[in-house]
Order: sequence, then structure tokens, then C-alpha cells
Amino acid sequence: MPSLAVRVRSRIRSALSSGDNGAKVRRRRKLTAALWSNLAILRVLLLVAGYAWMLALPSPQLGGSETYIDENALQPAQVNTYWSWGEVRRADDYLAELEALRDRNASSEERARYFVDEFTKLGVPASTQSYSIRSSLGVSRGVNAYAIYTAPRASGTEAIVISASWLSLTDGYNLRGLSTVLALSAFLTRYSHWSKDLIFVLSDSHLDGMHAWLSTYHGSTQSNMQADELELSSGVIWTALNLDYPGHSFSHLGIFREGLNGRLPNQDLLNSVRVIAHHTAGVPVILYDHFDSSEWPGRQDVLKLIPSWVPQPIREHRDVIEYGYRAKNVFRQMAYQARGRASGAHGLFHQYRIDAVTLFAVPSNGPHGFYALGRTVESTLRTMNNLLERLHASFFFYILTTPGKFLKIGMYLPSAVLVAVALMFGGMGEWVSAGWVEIVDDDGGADAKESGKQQKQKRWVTRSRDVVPALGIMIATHVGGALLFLILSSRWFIAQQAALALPLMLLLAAIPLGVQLIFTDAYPAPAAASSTAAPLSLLLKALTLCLASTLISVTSVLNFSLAALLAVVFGAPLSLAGAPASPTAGLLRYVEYAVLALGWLAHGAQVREAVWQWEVLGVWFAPLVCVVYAPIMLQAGIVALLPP
Amino acid sequence: MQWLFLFSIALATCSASWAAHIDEEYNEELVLRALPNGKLAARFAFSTLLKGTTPRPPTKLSSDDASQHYTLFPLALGQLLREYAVTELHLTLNAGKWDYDSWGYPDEPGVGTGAELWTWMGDGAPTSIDERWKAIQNAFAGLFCASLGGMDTQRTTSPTRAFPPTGAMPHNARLRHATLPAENVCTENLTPFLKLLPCPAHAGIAALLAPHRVFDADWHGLGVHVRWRAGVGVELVLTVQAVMDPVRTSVEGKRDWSLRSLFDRTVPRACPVASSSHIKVFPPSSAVALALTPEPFWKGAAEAVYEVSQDTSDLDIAMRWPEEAKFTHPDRNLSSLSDFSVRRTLQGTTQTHGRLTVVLRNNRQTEIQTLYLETMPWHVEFYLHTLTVTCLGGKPCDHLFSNMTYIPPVPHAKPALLQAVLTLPPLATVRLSMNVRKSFLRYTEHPPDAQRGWELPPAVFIPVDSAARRMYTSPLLVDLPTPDFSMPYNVIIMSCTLIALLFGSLFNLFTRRFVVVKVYEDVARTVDVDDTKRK
Amino acid sequence: MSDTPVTPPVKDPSSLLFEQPRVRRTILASYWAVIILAVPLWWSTTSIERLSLPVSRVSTNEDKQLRFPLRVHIDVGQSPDNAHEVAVAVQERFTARKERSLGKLDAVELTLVAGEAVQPSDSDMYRVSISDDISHPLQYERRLAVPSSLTSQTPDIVASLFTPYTSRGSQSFEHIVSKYSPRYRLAFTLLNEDAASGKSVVGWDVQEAVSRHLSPILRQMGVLHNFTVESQVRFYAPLAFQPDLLMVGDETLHGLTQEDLKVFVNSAEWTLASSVSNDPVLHFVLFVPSVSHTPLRILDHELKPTSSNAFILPQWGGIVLLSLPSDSPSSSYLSEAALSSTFNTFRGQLLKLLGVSDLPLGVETNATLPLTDWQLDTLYRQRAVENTAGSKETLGSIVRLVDQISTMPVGHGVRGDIEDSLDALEKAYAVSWNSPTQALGNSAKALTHASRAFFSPGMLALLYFPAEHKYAVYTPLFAPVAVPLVVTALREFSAWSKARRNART
Repeated sequence: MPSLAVRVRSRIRSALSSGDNGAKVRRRRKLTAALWSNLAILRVLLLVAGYAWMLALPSPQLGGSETYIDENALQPAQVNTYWSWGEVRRADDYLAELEALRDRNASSEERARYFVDEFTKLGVPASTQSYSIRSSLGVSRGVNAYAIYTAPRASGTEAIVISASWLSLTDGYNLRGLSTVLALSAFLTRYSHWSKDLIFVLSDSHLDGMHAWLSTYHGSTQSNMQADELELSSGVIWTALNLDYPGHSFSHLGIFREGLNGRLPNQDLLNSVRVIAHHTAGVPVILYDHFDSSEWPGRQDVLKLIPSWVPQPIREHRDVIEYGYRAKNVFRQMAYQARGRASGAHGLFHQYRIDAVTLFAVPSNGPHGFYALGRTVESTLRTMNNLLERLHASFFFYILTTPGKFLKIGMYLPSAVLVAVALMFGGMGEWVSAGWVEIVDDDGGADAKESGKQQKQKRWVTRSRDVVPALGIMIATHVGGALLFLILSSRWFIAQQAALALPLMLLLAAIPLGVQLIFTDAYPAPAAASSTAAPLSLLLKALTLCLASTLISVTSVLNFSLAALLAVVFGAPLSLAGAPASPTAGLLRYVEYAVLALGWLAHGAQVREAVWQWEVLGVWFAPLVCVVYAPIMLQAGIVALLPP
Repeated sequence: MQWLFLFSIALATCSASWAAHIDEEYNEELVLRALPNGKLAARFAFSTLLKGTTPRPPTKLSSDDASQHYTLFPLALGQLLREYAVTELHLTLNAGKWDYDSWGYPDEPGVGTGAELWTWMGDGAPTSIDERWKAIQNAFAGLFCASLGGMDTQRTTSPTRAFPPTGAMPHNARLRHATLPAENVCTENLTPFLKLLPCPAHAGIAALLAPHRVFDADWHGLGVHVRWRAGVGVELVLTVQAVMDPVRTSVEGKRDWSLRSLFDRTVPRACPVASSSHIKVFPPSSAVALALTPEPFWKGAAEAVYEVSQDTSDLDIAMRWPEEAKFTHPDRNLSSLSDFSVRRTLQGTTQTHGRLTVVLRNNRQTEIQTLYLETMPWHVEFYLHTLTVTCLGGKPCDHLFSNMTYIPPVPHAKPALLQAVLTLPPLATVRLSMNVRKSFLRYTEHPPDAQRGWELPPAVFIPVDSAARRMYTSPLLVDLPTPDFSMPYNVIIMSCTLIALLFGSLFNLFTRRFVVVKVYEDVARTVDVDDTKRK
Repeated sequence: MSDTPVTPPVKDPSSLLFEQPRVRRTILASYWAVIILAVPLWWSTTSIERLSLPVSRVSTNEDKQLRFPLRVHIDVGQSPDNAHEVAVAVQERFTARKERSLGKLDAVELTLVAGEAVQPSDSDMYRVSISDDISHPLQYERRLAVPSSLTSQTPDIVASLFTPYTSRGSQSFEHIVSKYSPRYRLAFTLLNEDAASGKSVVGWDVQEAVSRHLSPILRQMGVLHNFTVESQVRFYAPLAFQPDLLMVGDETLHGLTQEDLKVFVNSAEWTLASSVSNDPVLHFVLFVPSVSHTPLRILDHELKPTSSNAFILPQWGGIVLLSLPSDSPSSSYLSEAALSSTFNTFRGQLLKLLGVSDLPLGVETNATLPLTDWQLDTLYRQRAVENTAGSKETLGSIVRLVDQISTMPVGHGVRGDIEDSLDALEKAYAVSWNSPTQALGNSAKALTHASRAFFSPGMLALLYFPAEHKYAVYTPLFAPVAVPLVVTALREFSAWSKARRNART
């Protein structure tokens, strides 16, 4: 026992010995000093790395993993299909009648009535649902038709949705999609092997019809929507398939998958559709309407994208074209996700935990038609029918670079986070430098005497960091952003948007200037003051940077595309923000930032779309831009206005 | 020796007709209803009567039972009933959702999806009712290859108002009732079921029960019903119900049917021990002319009756609509065959809360009073204070919802039981809805297919005046908060690390000792202020 | 910043409240207190009940043996020395049997008392008397009388009377005897192959037949087993195979070969087994072949029809074939009279299945009861031996199992059963000296308890948190938490001791 005590005591003493403490402190200082002196380079490096990573995402060298089916129950393309030419004929008949309806542009009620009659003839219970949705763009009315086939011997607790909307996601009618669904309803209900109810939804217009139906089905109400109760009901919907067939025949099947607010369906769904289309119907599957760059049309499309000044050999190089092709896909996905847009009617399902995709029959003259589509859909439905649980095995976060290749979250997430880190470092750097100033004095302090050095020396002194005004400015800007959003989403603004957009923009941009002019004498900036109190500009910049960085890193795990967008727009500009030499230069800077912050107001169509999406579908993009993005940019601008 | 035998046989057979010696009776019946929507509802009933017997009194369970001798009554079942002193028992195994609107009321009311078992057992036995209830489940699970073991206390209730005894009760008895909506019924249940019949497969009406056709129906169900008829005896009724769809199976979409087309069997010959064996056919009440072959034995107002007797061979009943080229489906919205229609849904998009909605539509010109029964596992808890009853146009009419009894659930142990009487005004639509809370489960309580969700038992409606017209809603599937079970250990380890991290920093903060240190650039002259002070 | 900083005026940190050693130590102490209090809880929640088993008792009982000392009195009337010869011969013959019986007879020890008269009171003594006034060997109660003409056979007869499971032809039918159980269920089934085919038996007076032909036996064997009797009639029971068709003389008949007999029971189609209890079932089937298979006969190895119409399936039960004559009505009912021969056969089969040895060849009995005490004693002893062996084995394996699987829970139930079983076993040893029936009873009890312990579901429940789980899950939590706790504790201790030393100096 004593021996132990001795050993212990000695060890403790060594641990507590003062010299060690001193060393520790010194080590920490050295480290911070090194970090401090290289901070600028570090930030640049991080930024560059982040952007480079983003650019590298589509590169064939980065590769990405092959897609695969993860859920064992699915067994795609393992069944033999019975969809025959007889069904195709039936579909053609329906098409003829639908065209008649379109030509004498029948009202929504007529169309819905027609659908219901057809279903009833088949002995499938059917009903209609009329709805009206108010938004500041106006009111949209319509009537959905839907039919529910109760599967034999099934308890009716699970269901699959097969849907088609009156309008296609391309601006055209989706008549063939509708007639396919009708023909399917006649065909599928002849078989008894369904373990889940089949719900056929023929929604009016494009998105709003389906939205009305879905939200009523799930009992989620919305103040600006009146929709009838559904007279028929079924169980929980696990998967849904939306058909879009605008042309008169198609060459490829394009898969649209993006949902509202950047949601994606489980990858197993896409992969099984792809496998089935390829093996069962022999139809090539592509992403959106982007043809594969190895084929003829796709290659041309990619070549068009590459600027003409690029020398011939490089443009023609295989990897470059491949890169272009993948970049196209990645960019398309990011464009949808970042703006929170649904790339088709399927996108409305995801918020209810339903995995859904749109099968888009890419219009062309041949070779495929109802036959191939029908077989693909039948086999896909059989595959969904096998499910015993929700799709959960495969990925929900991914970026498809090609139909068969995808990037896991680990491969793209860091790119945005790097930028966020860069901003955070910037912010902290500013914060520190706001807290210290280096002054010159002649008499050394007490400690100087002690150290026995007797000459003039510079030394660092702390200065107070009063964050209240900075925070005040930030809050003010965000409140302003909120007001801006209210104005945008008001009916009268949308009414004469063209006239109001520019004035509004100027007004908003002018407000900080005005404030600045008024308060400029309230905040005189004598040199003496700057040694005791930190200048507002530094503080503001520090806080803004930290805010932006946090925002990016938080968003990145929810909706990477949005985070990437923010990283791009915030990264460089905010890092460069700072107090310029002269007020005029500052003014110029401010104008630049103001344009960045509010320039988008000029793009009327996008604004209207975004507002509609928010009001009807609850897409967060519009409020985010108004309440978060624009204010932060303005803050950067204000930094430029403030005295250094 | 052989000779001795023959002699004795001669002795035996010259004795009076065998029926005199046997105090058991077996009757079989098949009812075929052609429904207006082209479907055909078939119901087999095989009833065995044990004359002059009474259920075993539970108080006698401790002592040895008398030796049991059965002729027609299935021994395996008889033993179970005696062993656990069961007075009345009803087991149904159904697949599918009974569509009351277009199929009308079933001949056997027990058509809830999945498995349903309810028994009335005498009290006062040495073993408690619940022990016997558990034992009965296991015994029947073994007998019918069904996984009834899941009917544990978490699903067992005692809704005496909704499930009164259908027979007599010799001693004061208790009810136990449980349902398993997820149980799905298939051939392996039918085979042991048929083995209980005196004439399983080759004779009598039971010969029609070919698994591959019965299980291709739109709906099918098996039922075992035991009850005691005072003064008569113990009665066992085995039923098979099915709703077939001749239109679906026929190529040119006609609704014609025959026994062979439905079951791809005919009735080959009579069952020798059946004292009666009928086939009743109910044509639909439609104007279209139809032909029924062969000529029925007896023709009533609504039905045609066939007798399966010793001299019948290969009886194949067929019904045809000669004029009809193709069957045209009627509009189901026009007329409903049931007095009132029920739609029950569980809505809500969050994982923590939802809203249970029941919409009832009275299809008749008269007011209907019905008992409403919800048995809800504790996974889903009712917020009764949010219960609203609304009529047309969403105006509240709570007066329609009267004398309610509610037994709240016991988390992780017992289900909730809600019984109330609903009044449906003529041709009115009444809408009940209340909020529910979805419980958070312990991770050991999740089923292997966790991502599927939980099946909730159907609600039951019993019209006050006609208890036989019991109505079951379809079961519900509810998503409860489900963790990602793909990699539990990673999760555990990560959370452990996080906790350790928090603890470490907090603890350090609490117990750190702050000392003033003067740091000079060279180590030699560094002095620990603290130490100097201590000296 | 690398330049010398201006240090703010130094305030002695230890003067601050939260810097006082007492506070810090209280905090530390409370942490430790929580942990120490939590340990027992953690232990109780993650450990299992694992009671210790009476291993030593089990092992001591394992090498004990039952002992049945039997006294046989041999009475040869006038000539005692003659009696001695017989006695010696019997002894020799019996020991010879012992050798051959592979330990089955080890428990039995014969003491032969020759010559002198014994008082009739002592009933559990076996008496062999050789007299001239009988024509053939006679066996009743525990007595055997042999005519002097057959004196030479006496040893054989006596020996075989003492050896269990011997058929009349004195060869062993051990393979037929079903395993011992305190309760048997006798299931009588009247099986029509296909009642609808034309001729069928739709009922039988089984209750009467049973009470007439079997009840006496069942009553006599009450010491060994309790019996539950049940019966049913099945109207459709197809065979899994086609009996071969053959012509004998002018009549065509259907024959079951010896191979057919092995697979006769079509367990897939016939519902004979009943689900209600775990007692072993002995089936007795009266099989009525369908018209297309009548008459049905059993063939010998040369495919010649035999006279017998019954056969035993070892340890399963017995089957009797009943081919209805062509003139019988379509559906007939079997009265008790018609069943008598069938049930005689059933009785024989039952005795075989229960292991009752027949009387040796030529030996008759004039007793009113079907079984003599001598026969029963032999069976009692045999069953007792079997049971003790069985229970010893079971107990041994339980102990071994629990010893091997360290995470196997052992509850009070299991231990209680094992102890009861041991008690019963010891009692059986104790009483085996004077009473085979008590020995049997106790051995049976021992066996039941032992097997109940062995199959108790409580032992299946595996540990909820086995060791590897603990380590895998807890290390990332415990290690990082423990380190600072320990280090700080040590540091505080040293500081405290230092402070004390300073105070002293």
C-alpha cells in the first residue's frame, strides 16, 4: 500500500508540476499563433477545395458506385407479363375518346365523369373529387377522378397508386398517359395475384390536382384549398407510379424523381424500374430527357453545351463529353432540389412517405408505344406488389450521375461543408481581430519593467466588442426580408409585378444607405475610439460569416443541393466583403452586393412560380431567399458602407 | 378366426338400423347466392350435434375426465373442449375485406379480416380463465396451423355487449375475445380443417372444397363455431365461406357459373353418415332471364334446393343467363345491399399523432341504432376529449353518440376497449373522428418487419335490433416511430461516445483546478504562482 | 500576440467559491456516490438467476443401483436333497440368463430356500412346488407348480418367469414395449378406408367392449400406469400405397406385404393423433378396407396369405383388419359381441406394448385375474430399473449442460424439480429392498421430475445481455467516463495528503 501511494504521489506531482503547465500554455500559444498567421491562406485553400470538389462531382474519374437492388423482396423483372396487343387496342380506343374530349375542350367535370363511367363499366368502384386552390396568382379549379380496386383476399391496408395528370410535365396534354392508366385498370383487375389495393388516380391539370387529392387522402388540410371528401378510401400507400406520355410514341423512358423541398424516393424504386424496363420491355431508361452521351442525340446535346472556343480535340475527347453529360444530370438534379421543386406529379407523394417516380415517355417517332409502357408498368407494379415492408433498404440521399451510377452522400457532402468551414474560420478571424488592436506606447507597463527592457514597443491591447448594433442591423435586415416576402406573396404585387419589381428593389437597396446617412454622425470613427472599441463593420462581418457558415452546414444534411447553392453564392462574396479604403469605393461595393442580394427580383416568372409553389405546395425556397439569403447579402453590403 | 368374424358381422347387421346406436347427428349444407354485381357468395356449413351432452363443468377440471367416445364429432376438437371446459367458442380465419355494400350481409357474421377467436368459458376452475384462454389459443394454433399465439393479453378484451353467447350458458361464464388482422389464411389452414369432417374430400358437399379454387376467390374464410343448446346438446358448426367472381374467371366476361367452373369439382356422391345434405341456390333479384340446371329438387320463392342423396352422382349445378352476351356491371353507388355503410381511416402524416375517422352512411329510410366497438392495442391511444360527432355540413350532433363505456389501455400490457351506441338518422351521413397518439415502443417490442407498421384490429358494428348483422370494418395499418434497425450497434456505440464526451467536458469543468501561471519564453524561470503561494 | 501580454491584475483563484477544495471534493464524491449506487442496479438488470445445482448428490446417486433380493422357496415334497439339486440348477440357469441379459437383471438377486417348510404368511416369497397331482405347469399369484414329470424344465420356467419382456416362446420383445410413462392414452379408432365406396361400418359399441375386455387389465396395471381411454370413428382414411392383388384358389384377395405393414399408417391423411396432452398414446385401429380392397389379408415373406388379421407396430400400437363380407349391408354397426375377438387381439397387443411377459410355454394359470402377481412383479422391477437409469441419465445431462453453457439460467423451478427427483430416487433405492411397487412409484416420480426439469422452458431463455454485448456496447461509454473520474480522484487525494503534510510541518 505505501509503495503504491508513493508511486501514485510521484506520478501526480509530475502531472501537477508547474513547468509542465507553462509548457502547455506555450504550446497552445504557438499553435494559435501559427494558425493566426496562416489564416488567410487556410481560408483560401478551403474555399478552393470546396469549389473544386463540387466541380469534380460529375467527373468520370470520381466514378461513383454502380446502382443495385438492395431490397430482396422486390425481385424485379422476375415475372412474366400478360399485357398484350389486345390491351394496346383498348388503350387506343380510350385515346381516341380522350382526344375527342380534348378537341371539344370538355370541362373538368365532363372529363372526370367520363373517367368514372369507364371505371364503373369495368366494375371498379370510382368517384370524383372537385377542388379549388386559391393563391396570389389566382384560383385554380379542377376535378379529379379516381378508382380503387380492392385486391382479392387482401385486407386493404396497403395500396399502390398509378396516376396520370391531364397535363404533361412538358407543356402538352398527357392523353396517352391517361389512356394507359385506363387500359391498365381494365387489365390489372382481371388478375387475383394483387396483395395490395390498386388506386388509379387521373388528376386534373398538372400538380394542383394531384396535390388536392393527396392531401385530402391523408387528411391534411390547407387554408387556401377547398376539396371534396374522398368517398372511397383504401389503406396506406407505400409506392406510387406516375405516367407521363405526351408524344405519340417514345424511344426512351425518362425517370423523374425529385420531390418537394429536395426529397428523393428510395433508390430501390428507380433501380427496379430501370431493370424492368430494360429486361421486360427492352426500353432504355435515361435520366429526365437526357440521352446517353454514348448515343447519337445525346452526344450532340452535350457538344452543344461545351463553349465553341474549346479546341476541337478536347471537345471531342470521350472523357470531356462524359463529363459534360454527367454534369448535365447533376446540374438538373441540383436545379430541382435547390429550388425545392418537384420534377413531376410524383414529387408530391414523398412528403407523405410514399416512394414515387414519374415514368416519362420521351417523345420521338418510334419505336415504342403502349405495348412497351404497359409491360413495364405491369411488371413494376408486380414488383411493388411483392413488398412486405416500406422501401427502406436502399439509399434516400444520393446524386445520380448516370442512370446506372450514383454518388453516396459521403462523396458529395464534404464539398459544401468545406466552404462552410472556410466561412466559419473567416468569421472567427474577424471576431478575434475585432477584439485586439496593436498600439505603440513609450513606457512599458509594470511587467515590462520587471523584464528590464527599457525601449519603446508595440503591444496588443484588447478592445471592447459591442455586438448589439451589429445584431441590430442583422435583425433589421432579416425583418426587412420578411416584409419583402409578405409583399411578394401579396396579390396586388403579383398583379402588377412588372411595374413594381424594379422600384421595390431600389427601395430596399436604398434603405441601408439612408440609415447610414442619418446615423453617420451618431457613429463617428475617430482613430482613438478604434483602440478602445471594435469597429462595427468588423463585428457585423464576423457575425454574418458565422451565420452563413452555420446555415450552409445545417442545410447540407437536409438538402445538399440547396446547401451547395448557398455555398456558391455566399462563399466568395462574403469572404471578400470588407471595409474599403474610400467611401465611394464602399458605395460601389455596396451596389454590387445589393444587386447580388435583390437582383433576382427582376426575373418575374421565377418569382411568381416560387411564390405559387410556396403558397400551394409549401416549398420553402421563396421564403428562404427573402428571409435568409437576401438579408445576409445586404449585411455584407452594409459592411462595405460602414467605416473601417 | 375370419369365420368367426363374418358370423359376428351377420349378428351385428341383423341388429336394428345403426342410427339407433349413435347419439350424434351430422348435417351439411351449401348456400350459393348470385350477387347483383356478378359475384357469387358460397357458404358451406357442416354441423355436428352431440346429443344430450353438456359442456364439462369447469369445477371438475381438477379431477380426471370420463373417457370420450365419438363417432361423428371430431375427437381432436372434442378433447380440446373438454380439456379446457369451453362452453362456447368461435374461431374464424378470413382473408380479404368483406364488401357489405355490394355483397350484402354474410350468412356467417364473423368476417373480420385475419383471425378472430372468442370463447365463453365457465369460471371457478382451479386454473384461471386466462391460463385456459392461452392454452386454447395454442391448442387451436396447433390444430389449424395458424399462428394464434399472438393473441396475448395485449390483444385480448372482453366486449360482452358486442359478443353475447349464441347458445345457452350452464354456469356463469366469462368472455375472452381477440383478433389478429395480420394473420393470412391459406391451404395449410384448410387441410386440417377438412380433416375434422366425417366425409373430408371424396363424398358429400365437402368434396367441392378444392384449395386451389377456394383460395383464388375474392374473399374466403373458415369458421369453427361451438355452442351448447340447452336440452339438445353440444353443436359444432364448421363453415367455409367464399365470394367467387365468375366474371373475372370467364374469358368473354359472362357471369355464368357451374359447380365445376367454380370449384372445378362436382359432388361425386353423398356422404353416407350425413342425415341431411342440401344445396340451396339463390338467384339474383334481376329481371334478366336465367336458366338453372339440373332441375332443382324443390323450388321456393327465393331459392332452389337440391338434395344430395345416396343415389346422386356427379351433381353439377349450373346457372346461365342465355340472353346476356356480356355482363354489365351495375353502378354500385345507386343501391347498397347493407343497411348502412362504414368507412374507417387513420389519417395524419406525423409519426406521433394521427386522427381516426369513421364515416357512417345510413342507406335506409329508417333510423338505425348500432353498437360501436373499438378494441385498440395500446400502441395507439385515443384522445377521447377530441372525439367529435358531426353530421352533414360538419355541424356537431353529439346526441347521436350515447351510453359509452371505455376501458383505457395499459401501456405494454392491455388494449383499450371502447363501446358506444350510435344513432343514424334516415339517409344521413354521420362522421366520428378523434385524435390518437402513436406510442413510442421499446426496441425489443418492434416486430421483425419493423418498417411494415402495425395492423390494428377492425372496428365492429352491431345493430341493436339485429345482432346477427355484425359488421366489421377493414383493419388499419399504422406507422409507429421506428428506428433504423439496419445497424443498431453503430447507433449504440455512437450515442455512448457522445454521452462520454458530454460527461467528460462537464466533469472537467466541475473539477478543474485553476492556477495562475506566469509564462516566460525560457523554461528555467517559469514560476508557478500557485505553488509559491502554497509554500 | 506572440509578444508579452499585459497580464490583468492576478486574483488568487483558490479564493473563489467554486475553487475551494471542499466544493470540488464534494462534487467528485457525489459523482462516485452515484456510480457506486448505480452498480447494483446495473448488475441486477443485466445478470440472470443461476442457482447452484446439487451436483455432488447427482454424482453420488449416479453409481448407486437398485437391489431386489428375491427369495424363492422350492418344495419338492418328500425329497429335500432333490430340492437342492433343483435350487442349484435354477440358480445356475438364472445367472446364465443374467449374463445374457446385458445388465437388465443385475438388480435381481435370487436366494433359494430349499426343503424346509415356510409359514404361509410371508406372501412376497416365490414358491415353486413340484408335485405329481397336476398334469401341466400351473402358475398363480407368486406360486409355480410343476408336475414332477417336467422337473428338468423347472429351472428354465423359473428363470424366464423372472426375466421381463419375454414372449411365450421365451424370446425378448423389448423392441415392442413402449417407453414408460405414468399415464397412457389408449386411442381406439374405427377406420373406414372409404365409407362412401359402398360398404362401411358407421359405429361400434366400443365402450362396452373396452369395459368387457380391457378394464380388468387396466385395473390390475393401475400401479404402473393410469389410462385415459378415447375412441373415434373415421369414414375416410386412404392408404398411402396400393395393396397387391393376388389370386388364391378361386378368390381374389388384396394382400399386405411385411413392408406394407411398416408403412401402413398413413399419418398424413389419418387424423389419429390428438393434440391436447403430452401423454404417450397407444393406438388401436380397427381398419375396414374399402370395397375395392376387400378382402384384405396379411402376407408372409413368401407372399402367402396368413391366417392372422392383426399386427403390432412397435411402440405405436396395434392394428386389426376387418374385411366386411360381401353380404353385409352398406352401413353396419358393430355390437359388443361382434367386437369381442377384435378386442381380444387388442388386449394381447396392449399387454405386449406395456411389456407384460407371457407365461412360459406350456405354463397355464387358473387365476381369475388375467395377470399373476409373479408376472407383474417382474414388470415392476424392470420398469423401476429403467426409470432409475433414465432419471440418473437425465439429471447427469442437466448438470453437464448447465455446466457447459455459462449463460443458461437456472430458476427455482428447475432446482426444485432436480431435488425432488433426487429425493424420489434415493427413496426408491431405500425401499427397493422390500417393495418393488414402492420402488417403482418413486422411480417414476424421479423420472417425471427429472424430465420436467430438463424440458423446463425457463432454461431456454438466454441471457438478455451476454458478455460480448456488454463489452461491445459499454466500452465506448465506460472507458472514457472512468478515466477522468479515477485520475481526478487520485489527484485530489494527493493534494489532500500534501496539504495535510504541510499543515503538520
